[in-house]
Formats: sequence, C-alpha cells, structure tokens
Amino acid sequence: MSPVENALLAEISFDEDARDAFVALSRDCNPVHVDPIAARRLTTGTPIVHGIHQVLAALEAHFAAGPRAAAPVAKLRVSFEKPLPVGTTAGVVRSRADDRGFVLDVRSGVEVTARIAAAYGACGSSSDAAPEGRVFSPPTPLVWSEAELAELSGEIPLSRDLEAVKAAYPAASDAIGTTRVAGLLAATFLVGMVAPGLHSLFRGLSLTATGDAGPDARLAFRTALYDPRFRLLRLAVAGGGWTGTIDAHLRREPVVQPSMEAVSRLVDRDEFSGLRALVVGGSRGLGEVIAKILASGGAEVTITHAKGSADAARVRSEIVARGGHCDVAPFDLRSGPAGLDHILTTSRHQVYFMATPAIASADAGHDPVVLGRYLESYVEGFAFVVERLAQTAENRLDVFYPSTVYVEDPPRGFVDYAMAKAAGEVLCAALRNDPRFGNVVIERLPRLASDQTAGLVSESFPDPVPLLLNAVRKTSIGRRGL
Amino acid sequence: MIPEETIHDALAEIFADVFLRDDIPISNELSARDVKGWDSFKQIEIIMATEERFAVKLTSAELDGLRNLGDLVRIVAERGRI
Repeated sequence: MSPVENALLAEISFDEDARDAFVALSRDCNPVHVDPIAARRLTTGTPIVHGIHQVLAALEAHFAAGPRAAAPVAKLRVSFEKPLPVGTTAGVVRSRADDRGFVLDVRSGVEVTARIAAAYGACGSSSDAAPEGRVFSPPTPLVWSEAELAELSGEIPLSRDLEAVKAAYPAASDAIGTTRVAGLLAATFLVGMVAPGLHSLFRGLSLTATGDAGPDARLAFRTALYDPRFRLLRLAVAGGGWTGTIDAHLRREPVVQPSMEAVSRLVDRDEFSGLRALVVGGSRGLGEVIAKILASGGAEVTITHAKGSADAARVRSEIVARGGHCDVAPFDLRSGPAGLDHILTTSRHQVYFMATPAIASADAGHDPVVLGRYLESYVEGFAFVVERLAQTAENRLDVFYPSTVYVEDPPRGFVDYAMAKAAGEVLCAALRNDPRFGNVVIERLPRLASDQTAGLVSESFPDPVPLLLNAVRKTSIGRRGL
Repeated sequence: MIPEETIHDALAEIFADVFLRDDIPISNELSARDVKGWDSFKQIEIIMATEERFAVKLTSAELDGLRNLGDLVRIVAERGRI
C-alpha cells in the first residue's frame, strides 16, 4: 500500500441523534455524554461525544474508503486528546497509511480530538481472560472510592445483538470482526458505567487482537494500576477479541458551593438592604455565590438562568430558607435584548454580569470562532444587558464585570478568553463616562473554587466568598443603607 | 548516574509513543510550550512512562517543580535505574 498522508476520509456529524444511537448500542449513558446540566459542572462544560464513538466512526470511514489491507489489524492504540462537544461535525483524517498500518485523526477545526493508530500483523492466540467473577451491567454509572478502584475486577457482557453492531459499523465489522467492534463498545461501557464509572474520563487504550471471541463473550477487567497522584486508573482487559490496557482518569467531584449559612457568617446583616440586584447567570458558579452574598446582606436578588432551571430553583430555595429574597427568571443571552422584557418589569440598582459560555483551553492559540463565541457573551451580551437595565434603572445603575487575571498574562490555551474579557473591560471604561451608570467595578479574578471549576489533578483554588464579598461591597459603595 | 544521552534516547521513544510522531527534537530545554498538544494529560503520560522505564517515582514536589525536560532528566539521572 502506498503511503497516504492527511487524506480527509469523511466528515461526521456527532449530533444528538448519533449520540443517542451510540448510547443504545453501547449502553454507556454517563452524564458527561447525555446530561447538559450535569456536564456544566465537569471539565468539559458541555456534553461530549463518547471517545469510542469517535474511534468506531473513524475506523468505519477508514475501512469503507479502502483499500483493504493485506494483513489484519493486530494492534490498536487510541489516545483521546480533546473533548468533542455533542453537536460538532468532525473530520476523519488519515494521516498515515502504509504496509505497517495506519493512523487516523478525528479533528474538530484544527484540534485533534482523538488519534487512532493501528498496526497490521498476525492476531495472537485466543487469550480471553479467565472469568473474573462479578459481572457488571449497571443501568446507571457506578461510584467508587479510590481504595475500591485500586482493587477492582470483574466482567462486562458484550452486546448480544451483534447484528445491530454490524449494521452500525459494517465496514469495520468486516475488517476487524463484529465481536471486536462489540469489544470496543464494551470498553466504553466499562469506563463510563463501571470503572471509574460516574466520575470517569476516558484517556485511551492499547489493545492487541487475539483469537475471536465466542458469541456470549465478556470483557474481563482488573485494575493493573491506580496512581493517586494523577487519579489515573489503568485496567488490564481481555475479551471480545482483544487483550491490553485501558487508561481512564477518576475525575474529582464538583466543588460544593458555599452554603447560605457559610456566606452569612461573613456578610453584615442588612449591609445590602434596600438594593435590588440582578445577577445574570446566578444559578451556578460564582454568580450563585454573589446572589447568596447579596441576599445575606438583605438585598432583593433576581437570578437568571439559561439552562439550569433546577439549579436556579435550588439556589432560590436555599436563600429563601435563610430568610433572604430571591426571584428566578429564565434568560438566555442568545435570545437578544428582547429576552429581558419579562425581567425589566422591576427597576434595579445593580447588575452583576456572571453569564459565561463554557471556558475551555484551546490548543490552537487564537481561533476566531472561539473568540467570537466569547465576545458574543462577554461584550455583545454584556452591552445589551447593561443598556436595557440602564433604561429602567432606579437612579444610576451599578455594574459588576468579572474579568480575569489572564488579561495580564494569558496562559497558553486561553488567549481568546482573555482577549474577550479585555474587550469587556474597555466597554466598562466607557460606561464610567456615561451618567446613567454609577459604580462600574471590574475585578480581574483568579480561578476560584466553584462548581464550575472541576479540575482533574490536584488543584486547589481560593475560596471565592471573601474576594466576591469585597467586589459586591465595592459595587455597592454609596448604596449602603438604602 | 544514568548518562544523559541514555535518558534522551529513552525519552525520544517515549515522546514518539505518547504523541504518535517521531519528529520531536529531544533536548533539556524542551517544554510544553514547544510541542503542540503537550497538555496536562500528555505530561502525565510522559512522566508515567519515564518512571516505568527508569524505575523511579517522582514526588509531588518534584512534579510541581518540572519546568522543562532537563528537570526530569536530572531527577532520572540521579535516582533512576536501568
């Protein structure tokens, strides 16, 4: 076979329908893939495509495009490089294909999200593992302690409906065998539903093909290594025509938000009484903390939410239970200025602009599309929100704008994020010269602990309450005791 | 002490394995800024593969102090085994 480099084999829409079909086939319904609210609290910020979905789609595109190799696939290595949001169309690029094997990249724009390397050769003899005892087939993802994960073993049943597997991936099934495709499907179920389970992040696999498996084959697994420094679980697996290892991280559970009780201890009772404040994006993250600070000090708070109505209701009930005042209003920045109509029936003294799209590191440095997404929120959305509120504000409108320390020293991967925040700061400077506005406060915040900062490895972020309390006080200078 | 050249040769193999490309020039000055895709996940893969290859385990303080490949090479040279 002659070498082929960077050939685009297919463009694949990983939309919700495709995701749902993959879930039906694999039974991997981890929230990171299917639950947009839960996914907001994860490192990804939005539901992501199953890694194995990308792998099988890429293999299908490769084998369908041909030519057929003289030797079977003997080894398969996969590395999941970046999360791919559900709803993305990604390209399958064959970056190498020769007599030794092939390398496929799944790419979204310039980012590689998954890399698949296959080597040709003779398959080994059948080495399906001896039964490992407990069979796992949970309907919802399991949760384990680190100590439990370090000692885990068991078996995953392969799909009994091999016809459905073959119908979904006909070319890949012909090339590597339907059972091995089912084995890969079992791998995503293993990681997403069993081990690490609920708090998993699939990193990659390294498999060697063995003799084909029987019709009721299972994927046996046991923990080969758990490294607590990196929360990395390496599973030794065998079955479904494969033997090898699977790597997955145990994600940290989302940070628990500061309670009203904890916030109230730091806020002077009545220090914000008489204020009517709108917290855009107050149903989660730092916006939730600001809403609790204001309410603890006696302000009448309205929080908005774009998606998380359940989150907003939770925040409201927590504030109300402590004797605070909190209203909830749905509002999506993407609905434009008209989306504020139902909120502007009451005049307000202050607005805290805490709305944000998912913030993710981008390997590409500057990407105009990513910058545009941030600008849409941090500049355009911010501009029309403050403009419309100023029209109905009681006296002058105070504005709080959360910027970032990244403006001063943008780390790799956050250039567009920092640029958009810097542009928002310029807009704030203009507001200071507008007599309709009162205090316009910009805080360049570091990363703070919230339910939106789900780091993977050991990272500790400062408590957000003291810093945000100071910001609310600055925004309220001259307003106290209203 | 393991010779630096021996460690560099091993790191060249590790980098090729981790990044699935064999054109990354290994030097003590090499850092994450120089290699596209070298993120925290790749860092973990590089460290774990190096630890396994040279039978050494880095402490948390050593992990936090890694600024470039030379820092890793020095630790391996002093404490690693072949």
